[in-house]
Amino acid sequence: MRIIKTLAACALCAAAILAAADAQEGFGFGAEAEPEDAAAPSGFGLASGPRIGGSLEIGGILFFDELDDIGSVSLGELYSARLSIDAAGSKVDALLKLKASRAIIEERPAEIIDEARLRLFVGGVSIEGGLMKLSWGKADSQGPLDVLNPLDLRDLSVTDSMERKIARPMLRAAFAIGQATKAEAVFLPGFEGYRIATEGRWRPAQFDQLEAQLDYLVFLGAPATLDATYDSLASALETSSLAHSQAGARMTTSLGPVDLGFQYFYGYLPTPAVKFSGGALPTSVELGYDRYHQVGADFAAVVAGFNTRAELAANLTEDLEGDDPGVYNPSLAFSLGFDRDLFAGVNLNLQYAGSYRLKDDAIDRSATSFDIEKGTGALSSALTCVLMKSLFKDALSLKLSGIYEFDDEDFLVMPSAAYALGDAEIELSAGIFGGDEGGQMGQYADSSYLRLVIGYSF
Amino acid sequence: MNGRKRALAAIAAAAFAAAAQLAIAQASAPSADEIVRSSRDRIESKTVSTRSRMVIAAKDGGETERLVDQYSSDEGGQSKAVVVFQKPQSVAGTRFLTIANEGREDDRWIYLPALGKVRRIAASEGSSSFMGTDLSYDDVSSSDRPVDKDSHKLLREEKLEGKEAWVVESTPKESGYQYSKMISWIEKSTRIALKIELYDRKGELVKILEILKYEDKQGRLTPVLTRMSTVKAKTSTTINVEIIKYDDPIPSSVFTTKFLETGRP
Repeated sequence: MRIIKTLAACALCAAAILAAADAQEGFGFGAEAEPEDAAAPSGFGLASGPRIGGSLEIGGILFFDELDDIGSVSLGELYSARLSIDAAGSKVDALLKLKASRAIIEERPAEIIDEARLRLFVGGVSIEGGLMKLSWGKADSQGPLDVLNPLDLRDLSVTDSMERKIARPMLRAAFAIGQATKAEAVFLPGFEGYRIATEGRWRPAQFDQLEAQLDYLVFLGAPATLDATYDSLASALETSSLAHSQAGARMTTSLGPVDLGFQYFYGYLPTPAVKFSGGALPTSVELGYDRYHQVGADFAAVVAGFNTRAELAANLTEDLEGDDPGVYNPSLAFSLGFDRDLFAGVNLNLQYAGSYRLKDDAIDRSATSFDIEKGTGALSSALTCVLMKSLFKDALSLKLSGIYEFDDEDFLVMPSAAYALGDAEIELSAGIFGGDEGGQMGQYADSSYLRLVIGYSF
Repeated sequence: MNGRKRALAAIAAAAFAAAAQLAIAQASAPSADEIVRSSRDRIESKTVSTRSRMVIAAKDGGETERLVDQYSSDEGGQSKAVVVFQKPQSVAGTRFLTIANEGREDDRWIYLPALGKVRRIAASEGSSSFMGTDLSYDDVSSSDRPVDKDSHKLLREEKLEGKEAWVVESTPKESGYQYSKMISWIEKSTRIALKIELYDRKGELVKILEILKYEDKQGRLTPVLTRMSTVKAKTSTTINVEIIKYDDPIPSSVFTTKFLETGRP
């Protein structure tokens, strides 16, 4: 049934793309104009048909912990493919992105559609809808204002921020105010949280801790219904109804050398909260997502050759007093960063991001407390550093990325080298997790990896 | 004046050549400054729209192509240019906006579809390769480089491939510019810079730009085939201007970050 729905959606979007192509009358030469078009009365308004692009990747991933038993090496997904079709008319454009891999085809066919978007242009207003990925904020990677799409964290060897994003159904209206200002409003009919692995090497240790805690409570006399797995608790969540709608508005502008943005969002925190009820010896447990209001602002400017960016957000949950054990406290989230060419074409990109929990002193940290935040400090922050160097006119790209989490004292280091052969590329990369084994990243020390991929984009 | 600059800004690849084109029509020997100024003011146009095919040749002879559109305007006395990458598909949709400012650094933004957002970038990144070509970001936008940012010296007069030319050395007054000097061969009869040698900060020759062919387009002599060669790497990027339109109306909203995001004025 899901496959039929997927195919139907593909057909619908493809039809929209063809219709868009028929109506092309927009500005510019278009994608397919040929030299003889120069003789046309106007250089603009030239038609372009649907454009098809995509990529095919083959390769493998070698986890270091598999080296002890070479027979257990799986090499992960051996191939993946992407297909993109887009077209533009005078008042409309459409985009369909598909992706496929063995796991998607065999286990999650609904994920074949990566994005499907239709956009109308009415006067100065654009209205778009579909299964979309949008980026809000100015941070280079996952800033606090980038709230519209949840992340797929089931494979932590995927680090590209757009690839991690899960496309969600949404409707957006945007319009320009003058030359430098844009306002937009977004409506999401439903919600989905982060997708987190419930089995395999990327399953967080926190799930085991939760299940052990539930076992212990049953041992102490709590009802047997508490003896649940994370998976069973998560499967009881229903968030796709209109009652779980989210909405936001954002305005961006440029004032001389400074770009500014302001936004408001009303939605759900993407990380689930464990909610116990029944007193000191709980009688029930469930997972839930917390509603919150976000008010935020961002900034970008070039200062002394540094491309600087900053974001600040206030996340106001329904636990304004900070004493509800099953609801996350309100917090301030931030991101400060810059990039700059240093010497010999080496580019440095630094980003310090994190959040500061408000009303932290109201959290019950006693041994019998079930507060979901009692085990963490008020300030949670991480430093991301990326060094990049391109050689031979971008044919060879060398990159060294590192993330260090201050509160967990753990890290992830990712060196990579990519060599382009025309439109093909060979990339060798690694991910090395380390630090405190109880940390968000340190717990995956056994999952450090080496990956080789050959890709062709067309 | 603005119209002339606007015209020069039209050709992404040939812009560098056009910017340095020296026009010398005076019977008496002009000064180097006059040569450079008259060269940069050689073409008059309110707007310029171009489509160029860039062929990037590797040292081993392999070639890759880029299809690039550029729209330029000087409306309101402010030079603005948008570059749109059409092909290959892997870079299609990448857009680059430059707005020149009096008294401060140019504003530059780039839209990369893979990031899904517009990003302000510093002028200091101007020495970086422009999308893998032999041109740098500075090369692409150098047509707006004010004449008085460099000191110009007439070195000699000589023939270049049978054409009478002035040889002018231009030295940036600011130390931060990617080149320490630029030596141009300016055809006397057309005021076109037939060849420009570009020297790095160590004084070594790094790139050579050559105008291989120019044609009359709407009454203006216009470079239509240009080659930028990187000397040490033995690579080159050849720019074939397939379409060029002077004075075609360009909506002012093209020169905005909204256009970068949507491709719509």
